[in-house]
Amino acid sequence: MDLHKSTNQKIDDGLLELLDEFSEYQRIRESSNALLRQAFFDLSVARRSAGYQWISADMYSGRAQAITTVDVDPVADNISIVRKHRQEQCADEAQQEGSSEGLRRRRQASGATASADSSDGEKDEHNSSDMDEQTATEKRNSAPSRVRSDDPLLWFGMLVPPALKKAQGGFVNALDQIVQLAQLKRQLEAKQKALQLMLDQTHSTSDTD
Amino acid sequence: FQYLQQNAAEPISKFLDYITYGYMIDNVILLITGTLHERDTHDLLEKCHPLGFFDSMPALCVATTVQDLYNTVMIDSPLAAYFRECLSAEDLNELNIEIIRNTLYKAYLEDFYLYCQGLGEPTAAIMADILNFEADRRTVNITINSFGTELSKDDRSKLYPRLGNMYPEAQTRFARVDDMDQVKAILEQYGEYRSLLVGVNLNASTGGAGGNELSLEDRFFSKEVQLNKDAFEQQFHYGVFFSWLRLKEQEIRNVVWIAECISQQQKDKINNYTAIY
Repeated sequence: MDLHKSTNQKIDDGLLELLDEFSEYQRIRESSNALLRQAFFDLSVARRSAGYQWISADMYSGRAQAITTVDVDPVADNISIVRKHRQEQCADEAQQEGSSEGLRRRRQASGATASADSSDGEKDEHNSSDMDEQTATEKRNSAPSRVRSDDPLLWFGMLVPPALKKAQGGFVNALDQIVQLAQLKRQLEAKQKALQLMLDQTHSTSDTD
Repeated sequence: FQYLQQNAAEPISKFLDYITYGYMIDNVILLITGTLHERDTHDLLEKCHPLGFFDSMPALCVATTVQDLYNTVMIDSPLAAYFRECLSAEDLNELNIEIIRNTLYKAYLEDFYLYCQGLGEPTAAIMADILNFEADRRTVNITINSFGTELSKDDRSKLYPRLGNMYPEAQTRFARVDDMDQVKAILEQYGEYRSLLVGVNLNASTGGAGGNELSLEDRFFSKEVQLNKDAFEQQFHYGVFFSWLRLKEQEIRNVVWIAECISQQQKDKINNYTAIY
């Protein structure tokens, strides 16, 4: 009987904790929704202020890498944000370029071979335009002034409107909260399973009684 | 517009050419920035403003330094004269591109102003009001946008156009400010801008909370619309072409704003557009 009572007490306590955490989850969720909503609105304001072509997808590289990632540790059951430093990002990009420059060298070799073998005027033109394109690509990539910054705000220029900076701040804060939400959700699911297990045990005990 | 341009004679043809130079500057910067960020050339060319097209534009994507840009492309374009002031910059990075963009526009604005003064009244007076306001707005926006950036105060002052009600005294002071309160203190000393500051929250973005707070940007848009509407009150001048274009752009901004408010479920802020009539 006492055992039964203490199990019920544990279930009650566990349920109360679950509900408290769920309230916290709801609160953070509403806060992150509000932050994201305001950040998207600030982005619209910034686009209206600076011009729609200046703050658009054309202003950044399709190969841009995230500087902030999420690390999931299954052992400690922890989700955390990892922010890369500028040197690490530059090293990653240099690695990628190194491999792609290799590809460009092979294309150049095949292009040069084709131009040596070809005697047709049209083929020569096509190959020379290929060579021009490759030369232009190499020139572009060898220029010392490639974009190298860990602040995505600089993709849109140096003098961005304050609304864009505000939008960035909103997205950064929302990201922190979203990671908290993911962590909380895992905890809630774990607690829910534990509670369900206790309930099932209680029911099976009372059935045998 | 191209039909009008091709059928126009001097001096209106030159005036219409001047209108296109602003869009050419935007296209040049768009292409350079997009190329640096490895966007496809064809995609970038499609995004360029049609009024700002010139023949050697596609070749912009090949240039890597400012000297290259000038020698291979810009020297044959209508912007060549404006480019000479940018040649001190060497590499094409974010800071230099921003400086190039603002320096080009500054040179264009000054040149356009001088040309309009040569056209005589009433074009000279009407365009002087519009271009002076544009210069003042650029001065304020460059100042505000440069807070917290790598742009030095000396470089900042070099980007201010040498015209406008704020030239040269207020510009000298703007070059030294560090925050919005100092900006407000300078603006309050000018009658035409003191009235703009009434009810404005300088720290709010456009269409602030609840849609009742106005930002300085909103007031600038309203003032611009007013000046462009006033251009239609007089007859036999060329300013109407410029004003018509600017009012059309404001209409587009309004429509896009309303569409974005609807898509983001921000219907309480839909009315924060700048009404024209």
